[in-house]
Amino acid sequence: MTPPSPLLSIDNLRVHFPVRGGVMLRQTGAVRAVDGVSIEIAPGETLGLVGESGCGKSTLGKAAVRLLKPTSGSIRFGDADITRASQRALRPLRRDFQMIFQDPAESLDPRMSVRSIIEEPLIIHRIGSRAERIKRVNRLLDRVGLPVSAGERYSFEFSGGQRQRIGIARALALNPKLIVCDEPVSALDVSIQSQILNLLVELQKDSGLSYLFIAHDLSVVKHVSDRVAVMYLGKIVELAEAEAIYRDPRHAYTKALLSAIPTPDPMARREKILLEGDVPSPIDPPAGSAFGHRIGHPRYGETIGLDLALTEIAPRHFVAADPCCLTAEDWNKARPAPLTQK
Amino acid sequence: MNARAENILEVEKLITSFETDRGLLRAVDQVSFTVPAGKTVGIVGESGCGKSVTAMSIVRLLPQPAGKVLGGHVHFKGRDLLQAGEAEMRKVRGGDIGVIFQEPMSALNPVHRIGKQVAEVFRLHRRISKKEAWDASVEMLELMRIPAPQQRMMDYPHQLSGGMRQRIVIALALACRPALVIADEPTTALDVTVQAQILDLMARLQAEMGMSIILITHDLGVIAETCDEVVVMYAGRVVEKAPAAELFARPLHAYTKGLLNSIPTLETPSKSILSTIPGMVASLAEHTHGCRFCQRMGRTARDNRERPLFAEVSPGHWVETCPQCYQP
Repeated sequence: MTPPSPLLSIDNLRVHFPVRGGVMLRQTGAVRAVDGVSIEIAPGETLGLVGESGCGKSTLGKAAVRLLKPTSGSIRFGDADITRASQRALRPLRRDFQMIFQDPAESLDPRMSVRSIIEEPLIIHRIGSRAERIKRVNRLLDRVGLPVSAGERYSFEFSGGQRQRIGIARALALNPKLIVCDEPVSALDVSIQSQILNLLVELQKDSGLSYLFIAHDLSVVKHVSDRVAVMYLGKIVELAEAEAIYRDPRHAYTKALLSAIPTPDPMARREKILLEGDVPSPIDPPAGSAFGHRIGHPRYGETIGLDLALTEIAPRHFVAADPCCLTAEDWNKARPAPLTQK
Repeated sequence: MNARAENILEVEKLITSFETDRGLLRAVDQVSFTVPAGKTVGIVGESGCGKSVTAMSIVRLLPQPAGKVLGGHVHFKGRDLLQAGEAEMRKVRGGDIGVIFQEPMSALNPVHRIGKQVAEVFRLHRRISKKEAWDASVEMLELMRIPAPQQRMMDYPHQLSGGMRQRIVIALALACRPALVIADEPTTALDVTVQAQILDLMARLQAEMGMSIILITHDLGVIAETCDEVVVMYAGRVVEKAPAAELFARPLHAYTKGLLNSIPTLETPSKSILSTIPGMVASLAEHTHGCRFCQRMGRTARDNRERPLFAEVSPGHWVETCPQCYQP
């Protein structure tokens, strides 16, 4: 079974932010927020993206829908190369990719009625007559589980979960093919969180949407994703089918991340892998394996200058070829060929 | 066995209200629970259910002038904290009871160095010299496993990461070796890996110092991993209370069941429909006197007039025995 041609394909993407200092504000360095990431999302697929705060997952999400300009690499959406497309050229394409944000309170204009918030994308893209738009907004409200009367109210009159529904209705207005969800449920209580997750899953079943689902809650990501990418300091370190990555994580960072999830079962006393410290700064990251550096791995020195590229270690299971982060057996499978002659 | 002597804290029928333009609204409605010495009690519930207000009532740190404790008792070390004077409370806070807040950035003063803030706690509660307070602070930071404590003492809060800041806040709370620590969502703002570090640290400090902890969180996973006893709050009331193992194995109240069922775990089949709790927590002004979870589920007011009895249905397992919501 060959996978269908991807809807979104990102190749070797870099997004760096300049760091300026001194009197002349010369560029003194760069925050390498996204540093050589390649991912693909198929139609109807959910790719989950996890990692600690500061690992670059939100930057990657924003760059994927061109809310940020990439430094290098390429982003293709369907047949179109949108890496360097101008805002004007992007506008007609934006119908197909939308975004849902973490904090619905901050992403909805408090001075606009809910109806105008959801209608706005239709007006911008000149879709339908006034009457048709009213009908469409009513249908959208109904689709996300809000009463039609909600349209005449303001976003601040709603609870967090309902606001997130409004954000989803706005994202759906143009019938997009891809929605980037940036921590869509992390601000919500668990009972409301499950309502929103159910809605996202239903919408996908109905209309074959694709999601790039960014979150730090690994159980939530596992629940909604077909494949999961684990990001560490601007790079993908492991990428596999959701089931596989949770059942059989190969990268040391993925293992640590998974072991840190608290389980709602007091009887399950799992061995936790405790990491020291926090994610290192993406300004001047370590020259070799970033995670090897954090855990002070004895083989860190070997990784300087090494290409820690993703390697297929099992069918559709990719992991960074990094001697600090793999078992000896996995490293033998993943190590790049030239090194074997050493 | 004298149960009373083993409890470090006993909260009895606590009532806390807020003065608003819509009148006096009751945020905590006759909440009772006890904290055994050396144990961790978790308070869990959705936002707005009164967890934090309960905790802040215990140490009398309610927002003033709106917040008022209108009834009940808080027995701690042989006296009622609700009757204590302000000067006495100042000694209790940071002395006998340490408080860890959720957002470490707002619990620390941004214009003072870390060292000054930690040393201040010692200077306030113990009659010691500046030098001694400084040395005690360095020792405290070492205990928190903060690397290079001497240098960190000279840093300002913004120079530290979220996890490090939370360690400082814990150091402040534990400086005087309190008998009780109230931790209000101590790890909610942190990554899971850092959360695991902080929870591990707190467990180790508890084993060393023998303090009791009240842990307030909305994360049932954190509760399961750290707590001996669990208090489930809904709309200002305790709806269920039991030892942790018992509560997770045999939840009896519909709200507790709803909370437990709505979280996806790694075992939940992907993209399956999760169970949900319909509606949301009613606002304080709309609270009924009868069963409040029935109110959320839209059960009619006619058969929901009486406050359900909170009863011990099996040893140590308490639940609100509303005919609809009590589901053994």
